[in-house]
Amino acid sequence: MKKLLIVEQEAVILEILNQRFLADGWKTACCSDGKTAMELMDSFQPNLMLTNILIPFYSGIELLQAARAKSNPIEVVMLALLIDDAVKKQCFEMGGAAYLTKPFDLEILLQELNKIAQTKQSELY
Amino acid sequence: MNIAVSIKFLQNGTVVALISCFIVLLVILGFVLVRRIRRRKRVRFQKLFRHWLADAITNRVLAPDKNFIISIQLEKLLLKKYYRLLALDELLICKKYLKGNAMNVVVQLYEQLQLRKETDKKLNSRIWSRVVKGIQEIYIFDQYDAMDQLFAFADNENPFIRSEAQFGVVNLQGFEALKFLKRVHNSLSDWDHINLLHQLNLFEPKPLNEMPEWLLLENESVVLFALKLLEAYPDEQYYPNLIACLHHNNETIRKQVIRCCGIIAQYDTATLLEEQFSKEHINNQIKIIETLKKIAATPSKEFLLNNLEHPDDRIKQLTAELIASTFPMDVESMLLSNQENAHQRHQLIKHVQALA
Repeated sequence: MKKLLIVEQEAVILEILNQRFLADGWKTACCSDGKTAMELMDSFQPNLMLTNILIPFYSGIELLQAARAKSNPIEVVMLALLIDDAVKKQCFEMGGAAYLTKPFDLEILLQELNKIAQTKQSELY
Repeated sequence: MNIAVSIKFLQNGTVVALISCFIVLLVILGFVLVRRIRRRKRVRFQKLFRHWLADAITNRVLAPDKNFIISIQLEKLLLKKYYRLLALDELLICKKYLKGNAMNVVVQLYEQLQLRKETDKKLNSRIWSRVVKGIQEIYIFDQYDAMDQLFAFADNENPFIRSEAQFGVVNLQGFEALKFLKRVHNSLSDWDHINLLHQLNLFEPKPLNEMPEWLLLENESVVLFALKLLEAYPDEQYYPNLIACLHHNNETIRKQVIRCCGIIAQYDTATLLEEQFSKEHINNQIKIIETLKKIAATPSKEFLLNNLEHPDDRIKQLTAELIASTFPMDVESMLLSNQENAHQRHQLIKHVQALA
């Protein structure tokens, strides 16, 4: 089962992402802040996390760090408002799977996440 | 007897104060309650609308031929202005964050829910901030049929409305929208220049056919913007028009012309800039030397030697650097041609050698 944790502060975007991924057969959990995301990483145990960089309590970078430090590392896709080369480099160095910017194409995002999930699946088996 | 007691009771200051406090408390409580009810209603509507919106986008992406279905509850709510404005805000966020098919669905929903009516009301408002919001909605939701309105706002007395409208037309039409420049009587600020150039950067460059006319306009802020455009999108065919502006009354415009000369220089640029040098104030003189350093044309030795006697040390230094770059073999002979201020001349040689 593909399990995705979505962390996005903008409620309407969070809802759209949630519904689109549900429609594609993903199991999802959603939250709008870093604190809840940290809790959900343990309780929901996602294979993949899609997170905004600017979120309350913890930044997306801190979430990425925590996700990669787990015994079963979670793949993380960052969603940023701006292309910041320094942040982008930092994300990849820390093990981020992809760095996408807003505005984003919902279908391309879905394809990207499916690709990452497939790669992870093939690595496991 | 009873009346006397009542009057005595009312005359008692403490009781009156208590009653007043109680009334004030009731009013505050009522106000808080109304706000809470309103907030709860707003949250409930937003939840309902977001869910419907996400559903509509997902369904439309999966089945493009399917029509949007709207629940009776939501339909009723959307008859009220308050909720329509909330819906508009949600759609605005979606349009800013999404692209591709989903973005097109957002625009379709804006039109289907007839939210353009709300935008039009804002455009007709007397409050400038509402008009600005209306203009934003027009270009965010790609409402091309409102271009004429936006063009009219582009020369509005209010600088905020004007800026937003100018940004809006360029956002929708790119380089074609620059036709508004000829109609603008009010001035464009430096911030407007930056915004418009940034916005144009997102479009495929097109020939600036109206450049000669722009450079002759009375509105100096437009002339300055046209020159900035020429610097950003150099086109040698407008070189004669550019040079004509070198004699403009406005010093900032002349400065921009000198900057542009560094980008589209021709065989006579150095001579023209040398001739202009003595007519300019110090800042533009510095700009001229900097431009001469940039372009391939060689300035005359006489001009350079004269500038080594300039009262301003910055000019002397830049001239020495220019001599070093254009006549590298003659640096020492030129700099030491005049034995006055020999110490200063030697210092300039050291500076130039250090740069080399």
